[in-house]
Amino acid sequence: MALAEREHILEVIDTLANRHLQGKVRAVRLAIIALLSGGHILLEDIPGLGKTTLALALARVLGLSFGRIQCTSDLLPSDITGLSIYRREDQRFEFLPGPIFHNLVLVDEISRAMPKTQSALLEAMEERRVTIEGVTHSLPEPFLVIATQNPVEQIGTFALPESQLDRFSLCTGIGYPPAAVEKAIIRGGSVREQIGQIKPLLSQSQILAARGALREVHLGEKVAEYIHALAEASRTHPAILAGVSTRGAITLADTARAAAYLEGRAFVAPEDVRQVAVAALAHRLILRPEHENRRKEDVLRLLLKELPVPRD
Amino acid sequence: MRLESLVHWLGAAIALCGYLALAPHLGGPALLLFPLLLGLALAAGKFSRPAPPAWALNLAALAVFLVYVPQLSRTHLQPAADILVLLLGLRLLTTRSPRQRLQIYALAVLALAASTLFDLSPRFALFLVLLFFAVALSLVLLTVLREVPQLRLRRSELRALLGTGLLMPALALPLAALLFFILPRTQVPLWDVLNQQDQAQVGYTERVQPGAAAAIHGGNATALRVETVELAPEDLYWRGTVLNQFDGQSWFRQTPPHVPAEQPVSRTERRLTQRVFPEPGAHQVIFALDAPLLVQGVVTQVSADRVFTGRQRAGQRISYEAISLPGATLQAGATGPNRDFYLQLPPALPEDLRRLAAQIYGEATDAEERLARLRAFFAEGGFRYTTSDLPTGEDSLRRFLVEERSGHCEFFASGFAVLLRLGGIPARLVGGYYGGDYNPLGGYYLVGERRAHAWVEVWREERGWERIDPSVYAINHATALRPGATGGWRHGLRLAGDALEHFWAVSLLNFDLERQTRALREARRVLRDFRFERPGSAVWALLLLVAAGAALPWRKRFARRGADPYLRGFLRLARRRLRLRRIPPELGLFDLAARLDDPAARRFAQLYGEYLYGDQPLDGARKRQLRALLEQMRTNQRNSRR
Repeated sequence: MALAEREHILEVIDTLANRHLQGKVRAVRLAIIALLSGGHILLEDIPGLGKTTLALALARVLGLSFGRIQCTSDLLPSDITGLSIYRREDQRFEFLPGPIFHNLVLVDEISRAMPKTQSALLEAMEERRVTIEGVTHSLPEPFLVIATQNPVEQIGTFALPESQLDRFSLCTGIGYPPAAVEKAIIRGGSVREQIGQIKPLLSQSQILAARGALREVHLGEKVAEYIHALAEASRTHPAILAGVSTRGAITLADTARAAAYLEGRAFVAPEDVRQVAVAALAHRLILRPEHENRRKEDVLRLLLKELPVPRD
Repeated sequence: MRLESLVHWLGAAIALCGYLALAPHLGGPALLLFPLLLGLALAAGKFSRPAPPAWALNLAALAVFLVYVPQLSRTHLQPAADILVLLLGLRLLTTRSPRQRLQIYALAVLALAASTLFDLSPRFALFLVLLFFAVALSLVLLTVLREVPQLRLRRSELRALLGTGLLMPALALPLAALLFFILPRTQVPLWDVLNQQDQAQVGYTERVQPGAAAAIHGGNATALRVETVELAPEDLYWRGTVLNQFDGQSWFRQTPPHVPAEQPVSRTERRLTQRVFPEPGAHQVIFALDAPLLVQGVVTQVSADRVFTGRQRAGQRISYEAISLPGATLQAGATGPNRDFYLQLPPALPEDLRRLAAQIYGEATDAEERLARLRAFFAEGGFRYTTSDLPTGEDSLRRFLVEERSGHCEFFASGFAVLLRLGGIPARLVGGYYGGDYNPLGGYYLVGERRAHAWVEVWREERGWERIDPSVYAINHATALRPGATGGWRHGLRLAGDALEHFWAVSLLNFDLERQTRALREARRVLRDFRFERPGSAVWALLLLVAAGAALPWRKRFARRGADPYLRGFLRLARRRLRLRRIPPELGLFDLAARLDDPAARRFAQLYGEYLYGDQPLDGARKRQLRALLEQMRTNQRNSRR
């Protein structure tokens, strides 16, 4: 079975990760996985590591329409979804779509928005449509939200509740670039300007074709068992209060399909599951109070290490 | 495949097994009718014809009873076998409810059991094993069929079902083996015990009567099997009894004068140990290679002229060990034998014979000289060995010696001994067997009844009783008495078959109460001491069987794990090349392939992953590829080491 458009997608990752976003292979890859599996991604890291740059570059190279929402505490739901205004000359209301009506939406510092705004956004992400004044407007396809969050800043933020975190299929940090890369960046300065010149490498229809191919990726009995065993292990682990939900397991399966697709396989291997497991599951865990100072990622890595891979 | 037709075929096979087990003992009509009924049943099943009405079949069964039951008697059990087989055949024709199928199975097992009334041969074991598995499997399938009558099975499902069905009887085997050691058994067909009848004696007899019949027909019956090393043909005289009196017509045995007892003395001191397995028969003589020194393992009486007789119940299977000194003579103490006893001749001996003796011996008076002349007479007299056109009647011996000069061993031995006695030399006849077919597979001699033989023992002053076989003087001796070596696959097959029968008789039929208790004692001793001091082979066999039975359920798990020797090969290679003591459980195939950094390994992971995770079939082509990739990996590894 041919994996449609895989070459192009790999080329995109290659271009982004090696030319424009050096040292961010993992984040780029995960963002693509989120895009292909129809999910959204939350980038959680301190400011200045290139979260926004990543989103911009991705939008450019994918040739998608790009919307950006800078969250502040006075951001209103309608600032995201759009609103109807009255046209006096035509004597009717006209709908002005908000920034969410783009293929790729960057929601910067999502935790600064008020809970009401946050939930409007998350609802749109989940439903893929927006209802304003009784009229339902579908969001474009593909539709990918890249949200960023600053994990250390506490003042004036509204941390996303766990139930809302669940709406993001993947959550990952970016991390500091390797020393050599960082030095080069210091010498060369910001790459923001370059990004404006990136030529789109993919068309919208190509992305949709790739997503279609993803549905053909086979997920066998053994791998399904493996995913279930992982979810089960998260529910019984002593450090974890609430483990992975069924939706989490479904997301893991979907994103693992995308990972397998990127590996060029027509079936999901346990390695694909392991590749995305931390990004797909860690943010869904609720640790017990006595273990709250542990990192969720570390707990999940521990689970992965203890779980034998189905090999026979 | 439809499960119902599978059960149908199995039922037919089971019935056929029962029939074949009994077939050699059936009367003609039953022998012919059963295949007919079976064919009808199979045809009806194939073309889904309705079964004949029940009343017709019941009537037929009644008719069978009416025909055969009157023929039944205590000594004539064959009609019972006929009834059994015909009922089985009729049962096959009826509509097939599970109940009727069970009746078929039961009748077939009964038929097998009935066959033991007539004979106990390895065939029984064959059919027992076949029926054991077939019936157990059928019972499993029958329960499935009851639940889902219209079940159709795919090939893989069928294989799984058959596997489970056969596993159960296989698991029961160790228990069955245990029963073998415990249950009492009979060594001869049950009917023979209940109904001891005189069987026509062919071959060896206790009376040598030349001239009793115009021809002798050697049967194919087995007389003895003797486990020993391969011997020279001139040593193969199986000594039985000594006939020391002649009445003009026949030689017979009288208890010899008791003193002095004879002892075998050999110049070479070569001792030969044999284990002898005589077929059950009526006679009580214990056969051993000439000259017998000792017989062990059976209660025997030995007479002064070294004739061993065993006190065996008629028809019982025995075996014993004999030690012989081949080429030895029997020495009779200082005084020598009772000359009058061994020179006895009937007064009414034909005058021609006395004249012949005088003619042969002439003026020679010395016993050795006379013996030499007699030998020369036989060697040069143009005697022929034959088993047909024999002289018969009262003066048959005279006609043999004087006129026709053709006869079989009894004539040769009788004539030689009579002439010796006429010459004043003590002589006697020995009855036994000569020769045998060596079976290299079983390491034993097969001695048939047609090898029954008679020869002469002559008293020589300096040496004692010496064996002389006058038959060797026949001009056609080499072809008549020593059948040429028969080769070819048929001969080989017969030898193999006989070796199997021998093994069957030795290890199964002869496994009597004494050995059962011995085996139990051995087992107890082994378990108590747990020192491996050569426990009986039976105990080892038991332990082995139990172990094998216990291992069976594991085998399946092993088999499932072993379905992918390729994966194991891959993991082994990976472990070696990555220098890991064991592969961490969280490392998958692709992880390993990436670490190995070998294109062959990557390709292997891809291919095997397609089977394992992609649910692609592991077909022949894929297996070949996997094997080739493993080979490639090995080569790469060797190259990288250099």
